[in-house]
Order: sequence, then structure tokens, then C-alpha cells
Amino acid sequence: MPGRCHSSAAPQADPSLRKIVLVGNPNVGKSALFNRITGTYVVVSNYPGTTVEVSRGRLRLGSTDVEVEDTPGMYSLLPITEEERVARDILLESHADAVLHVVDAKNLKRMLPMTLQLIEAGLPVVLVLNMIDEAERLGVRIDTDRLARSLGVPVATTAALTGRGVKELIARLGEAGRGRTLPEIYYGPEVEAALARVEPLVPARAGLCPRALALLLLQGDERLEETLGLSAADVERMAEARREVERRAGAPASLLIPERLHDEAARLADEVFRAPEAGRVTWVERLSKWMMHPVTGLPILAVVLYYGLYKFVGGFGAGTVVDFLEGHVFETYVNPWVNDAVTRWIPWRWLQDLIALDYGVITLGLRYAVAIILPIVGTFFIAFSIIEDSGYLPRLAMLVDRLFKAIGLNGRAVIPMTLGFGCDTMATMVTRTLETTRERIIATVLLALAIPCSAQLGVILGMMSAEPRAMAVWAGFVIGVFLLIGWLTARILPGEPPMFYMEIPPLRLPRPGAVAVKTLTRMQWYFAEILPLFLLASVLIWLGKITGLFDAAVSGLGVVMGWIGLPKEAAVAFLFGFFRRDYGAAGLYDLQSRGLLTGNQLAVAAITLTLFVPCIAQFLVMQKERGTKTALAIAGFVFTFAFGVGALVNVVLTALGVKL
Amino acid sequence: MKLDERAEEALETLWETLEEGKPRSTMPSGEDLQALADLGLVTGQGDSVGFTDRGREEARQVIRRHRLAERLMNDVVDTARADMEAAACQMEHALRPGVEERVCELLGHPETCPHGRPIPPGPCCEKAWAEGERYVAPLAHLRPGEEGTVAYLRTQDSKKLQKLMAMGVRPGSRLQVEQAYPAYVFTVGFSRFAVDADMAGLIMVRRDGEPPPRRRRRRWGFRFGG
Repeated sequence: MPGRCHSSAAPQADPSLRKIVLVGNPNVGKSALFNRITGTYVVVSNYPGTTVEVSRGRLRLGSTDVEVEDTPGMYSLLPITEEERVARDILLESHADAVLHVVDAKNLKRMLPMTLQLIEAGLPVVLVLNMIDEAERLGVRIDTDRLARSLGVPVATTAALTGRGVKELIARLGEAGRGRTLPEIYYGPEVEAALARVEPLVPARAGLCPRALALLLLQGDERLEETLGLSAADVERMAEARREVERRAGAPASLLIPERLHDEAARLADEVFRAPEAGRVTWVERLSKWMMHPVTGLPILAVVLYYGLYKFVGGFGAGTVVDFLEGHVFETYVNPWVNDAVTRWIPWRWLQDLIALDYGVITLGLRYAVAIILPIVGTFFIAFSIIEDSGYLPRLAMLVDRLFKAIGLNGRAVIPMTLGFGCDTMATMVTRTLETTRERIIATVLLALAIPCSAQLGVILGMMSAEPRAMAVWAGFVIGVFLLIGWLTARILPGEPPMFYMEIPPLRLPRPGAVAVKTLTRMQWYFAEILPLFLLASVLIWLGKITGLFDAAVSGLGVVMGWIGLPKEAAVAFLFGFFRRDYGAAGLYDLQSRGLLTGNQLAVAAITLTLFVPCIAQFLVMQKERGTKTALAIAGFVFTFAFGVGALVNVVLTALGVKL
Repeated sequence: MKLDERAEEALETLWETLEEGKPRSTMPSGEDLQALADLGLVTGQGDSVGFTDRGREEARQVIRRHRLAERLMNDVVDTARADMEAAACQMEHALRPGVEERVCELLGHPETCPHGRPIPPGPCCEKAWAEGERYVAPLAHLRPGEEGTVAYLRTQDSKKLQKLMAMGVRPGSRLQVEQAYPAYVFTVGFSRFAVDADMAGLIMVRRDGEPPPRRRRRRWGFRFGG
């Protein structure tokens, strides 16, 4: 019975093309294609699962504007992770006029089952064989005409990174949802019998056709039961139908249905897909092997960290560029000029203070943001984008999986963790790609506590490069805390240990253009996020100063500083830390360059500040992602713990008579 | 001892309830239990029913034959799942000790039935494991460089199955193991994946003949795990 429900949901005419949704497996180039289609930019990377937000853009088609949505990667309509659920829900709610199923051409066979699912769901599918250039280089041949005939949907080939085939794809969008010929997939007597009983229970919704929804429900999709608002009685009937299938067929529907889909996909793929035997081993393959081998992989990691992070971000970014901007541009030109102008032209002391002098919006807020933070974060994002685009991160994930298992995470968490070294706020957002709530909480705690962001790290490394022993103590304690707290949290939090599985994409040479655009986009996001906070912080400090609150807070914190053996001037830096972690670090930098800190104090201050509160932005994201209660609990814990460790380090160093 | 088919079915059901924790509602009828008790295979009544030592061993054998028969139907004869059960039910009674051992060998001493439930190992399995000569083995046992075809997936957890299928790992897929430590790395189709030991243990692979000879330099510890 061809297309029983296929006709109902299909859009009829071309002018009705108003909305396109992109779906597909992670790391098949959805974001790159989205950028090509809309001309806007979302971050593209060589790492599965980097799209966590839904991107929206527009495509000008003749005289009409078409809305385009990019979705997080998903493997099938039955979601496993939060991001997959997001993507699936978009499909359910979108009423899209064209659903572009983007697949990696060379892995067609593996991705076809989802195409079948989408078509089966009555969605107006266009199959996009992306990365066709890579497939061709491997000698893969795909008979797209035959595939299109078998599936009954338009099939396009593209190479989104270079833009090949995108125009043709756009031209064919109007064909979506017309003339399907795919016969309904037969799932065997047991499943079909259950479907017949379950289908009437499914509420009529425009999103997916009832048969498709019933199939998902039979596979035990509890989220969908919620979304559809099934009554308790219907939920029970569903469960009964599932048990019935299992009893009669000897296997659960959640096994039988995907099996049939994959069989069908394999049959189709065998008809249209020709691939040669595996090719020769290239030097890229060899490099890839070295990266993944523990013996050679760890030295490579050390090299990447040393040159990428220490030399480039710490040395060049936090050293050379900061020295130039801070010491030269601001100290020599901007600040004296602004201070001079302000004192000359503005008679009111309060306004002078707001704009310039010690804590002014320009002399402090803008200076920190532009002269200290910008170069550090900028160089970090450049390094990160290069590493990301090369495909190194999944290899690193595989290398650290065992270590991460010990702290309740798995190798997949390497992305939020390394991104945290750039910006913990951004990283907290990315924890959404982790599979279980437990992993997300552990990752959030570790990000809030033990992962210093690039600005903080840059400043701390800059400060400590002259004091290698203090740096060793700092690094030792922070890594120790990271492992200890991860280990403890993993033991306290209930839940199953995570499973690790990850696609290792081919190594690719990062393209300078792509790296530049990506870095700029991230910088843009970062600055839209932080510059207002920096300026706001200056204003708040100014307000606090003229009302005396600031001094009260500083002297209050000064007492705490005494407990952990720091001069009371350090209180200012910690107070800044409330606004931005890096702001606090920058304050510390000021103290150190004025020669107010001994080696011991430097180590204590750096450790406490690294562990210290997440910045305001990170706290807000924590609250949004994990809920207010969890966020408050984490912040409270981090705060007390940071000062506790600071005090401990101070006591230990003093007791041992160590002078760093 | 030769049991009739009805007694064997009753033993199977009882095994699943007592040893594998199936709900008690699926217990054999009182009449069947009485018959088993008369044969000296079970003791006790109602909820307190239990195997005698001989009864447990008989049940274990019956279950083993049944599940081996299922595997045979599924892996070798390639029966549709719906027909498999009926065919296996008839076949299991024909699998007598000598034949059972041969079938077990042919299948590579499988550890689970196609539904993912454990097959109680026989002496032949113990021997094969001790000698490490299994034909079908978990991916985790393969050496780097070794190739094979996925025979079956040893799990019933639908999430795990979904992940494996999303990777293109399903019965019939060809794969090659590249690395075994710190995680298992393998290629399937044109993709390369890394999985941890738990997941690698779920993928049962029919090995391609002889494993590749080890290279010399691997002797001094260049190879890990495996």
C-alpha cells in the first residue's frame, strides 16, 4: 500500500515553500550546508555534536523569504540524548515544507535508515549526499537517479565546504514532498498487529503521520508519550502492546523495527552504492594512528598543549600582545590622555571616577576587556579552532576515555572540558551534548570549579612564568582538585557509568578561511556576552565606591584574605572575580606587577582564584541548564571549597617552611 | 534421562523464572510442577518451589539446547525472527549431547541467544575459551589488524542497540579492529569509531580465519590490552 499517510502531510505547491529544516547524523556537514544556503554563519567543526543551539536563517528564493533551521545531530527519530530530543521535537513542531536529510555520502548505507524513517513519517524529504568530494576521492560511486527513484524523493549531491552542488540543491527544493513511491515498510506480523491496535490511540497531529508516531511509541519512546499527552490508560495500552510484541515475536519492538529499517536500507544501498576496496595507507592515516596510540599520543598531546596553549596563548597572547596593548597603548597613550581630558574638562569628581581614573569605565573596564582579555581569548579561540578543524579532538577523547571514566565522565566530555579552557560559560552550554544528567552535572561542577578559562589561565600563566615553582604548586593542586572532586562526585551521584562511543572523523588540514571565520564568530559571541558585563562591573564598582559599599565589601573580603594569608589588597581582585573570573585574574595581575605578592601568596591566590566562583555569566548558564537549585548548590560548594583549599595550601606551605 | 517435551518446556519456564528473574506469573502450571516433582527434579510447592541439584542441571541443559537452536536458526539458517522460535522449539529436542557440541562449535561457542539471554556454557565452551580458539568472539578479543563480520550483538538494551546500529554495526557488517588500548578503535564501512571495553564486548564478531601474525616490535610492549 504505497504512501498511505504520505499524501496527507505533503505541501502541494512551490510558492508554499516557506520553511526548510536540516536534519542528519552528527558531523555530516549540516552546519556547513546551513551556512551555504543562508549565507549566515554558525560554527562548523570537525567534531560530532557541536551544534547545541538551533540556528535559524533565511534564504531568498525568488521573491519569497524561506526560513531555514539547522538542528543538532541525531542518529534516528528515536532520541538517545538531549540534543537528539531537541532535534526530534523541532521536526515534530516545525511543519517544514522541506526536510533536508543531510548524510555523509560515503556512509550512505549507515545513514539511509533514518532517511527511510523520515519518509515513512510523511515528511517532505530531500536527501542530500554531502561531502561528495570526499566520497569521490575514495572512489565511491552512487547512482543517485536510481536512489531517487527507489526512495521517491529528490536526491542531491553537495560538498558544502566548497559550495559545490548547493545551487542545484536550492533549485530542487520545490520538488520536496511530491511523487513518493516508496512502499510502506512491512515490519512483520507481530509489529503490524500491534501497530493496527496502537495507531488509533495516537492523537492526530500535523507533525508526523500516525503510523510513524505509533512506531516510535512501540519502541518505547517515553518522551513522545509526554509530548503527545497520552492518557494514563493509553500509556498502559502502549505498554501492553509492547509486551504483546515481545511475547509473540520473542524480541522487543525496539529491536525488530530498527532491524527491519536497517535491512531495507542495506538492500537499497547495495543497489546504488559502489565502493572500491580500502586504499593505501597515507601519511595522514599514520599521523592519525600516532595521535591515538598511548605511547605516541601523550607526547603529541604534550606538544599540542605546549605550543597551542602555553606558547601561543600564554606566551604570545598573554605575553607579547598584552604587553603591547596594556603597557604600550593603554598605559602610555589611552589612560593618560583620558585621565588628563577628564580631569581637565569634567569638574565633578564622581563623573571623573565613572569614566576614568582607577576604576573608570574606560581606564578599567575597557582596558581589561580590550588589552588583557581580548588577546588571550582571541589567541585561544584561534588555537582551538585549528585543533578542532583538524579532527584531533575525537582522537583525544578516545585517549582520555579511561581517565575520564574514573571521574564519572567518558571521553565525549573532552569537548566541554577543553572548550572550558576558552570560556567556561560556553563550555557549560555544550555539556548538553553529554548523554546522562549525571554526566552533565559532574561536568558542570568541574567546569565551575577546576577548569580555568583562557583569560584567567593566560593571566595566571603570565604572572607565574617568572615563578616556575609557584606555577608547579598551582598546577599540581588544580589538577589534583579536578581529579579528586570528579572522583568524589562520581561516587556520590547515583546513576549508571557512562558508555563511550565516538566517531573518529578523518584528519583534515584546517582551512585558514574557516578558522578565521570561526574564531571571529566565537569572539563575537564572547564579546557580546562579556563587554557589557565588564562595563557594568566598572559602573557597579564605581557605585559601590561612592556609596561606600565597595570599601565595606573589600574590607570584609580583606578579613577572608587574612585567613588564607593574602594581603588585604587582594580582596579587590576577588571582588572583581564575582563579575568575571578573568576580571579577577586581571586584578591579581595588577597586584603582582606592583610587587605586592610573595611566591607563596602568588600560589595561594592563583589556586583560590582558579577554583573560585564561576563568573556571573557562567552562573546564569548553569542555572538555565541545570536548574536554580543545582546551580546554587554548585556555586555554594565551589565558593567554600575554593577558600578552604586556599587556606589549606597556605597552612601546608607555611608548616613545611616552603618559600616559593 | 530422557524427558518428554512437555517436561522440558516446563523446566525451561521454571529456569527463566528462578534463575533469570522472569515474573512469577509465567510459572509452569501446578500439574506440570507436580510432574517434575515426581521425576525428582523440583522440590517444594507454590512460591517455595525450587530445583533439586539434578533438576537444575537438567534445566540448564534444556535451556542451553533451546538457545543454541535459536542461534543456529538465526545465524546459520537465517530464519526470519518470527519463524525462528517455532523452528528452534522443534530442533532443541533433537539436539542430543554429541550433536549439541558440534553445533556449539559451529556457532563459535556463542554466549547469548539472539534475544540476548545467556546460553549456559558446556564443557566444549570451557575448553575452547581456555585455548582461546573461538571462532566468534567479542570485538574486545580481536587483535589490532584483525578483520571480521559482525555475527550478533550481545545486548537487549535498546539504547545500546541504537548506538551500535547508528555506527553501522549490525549483523553482517564487515569491520576491522585497529587498536585495542586505551579504547577500541575499528573501521566499519568508511567510518572509524572508538568505543570502550563495555561496548566492544557487546559486538560479537566472526573472525576471518587466522589472526594476523604479530609483528616483532610489538613484543616489547608496543601493544596494549586486547
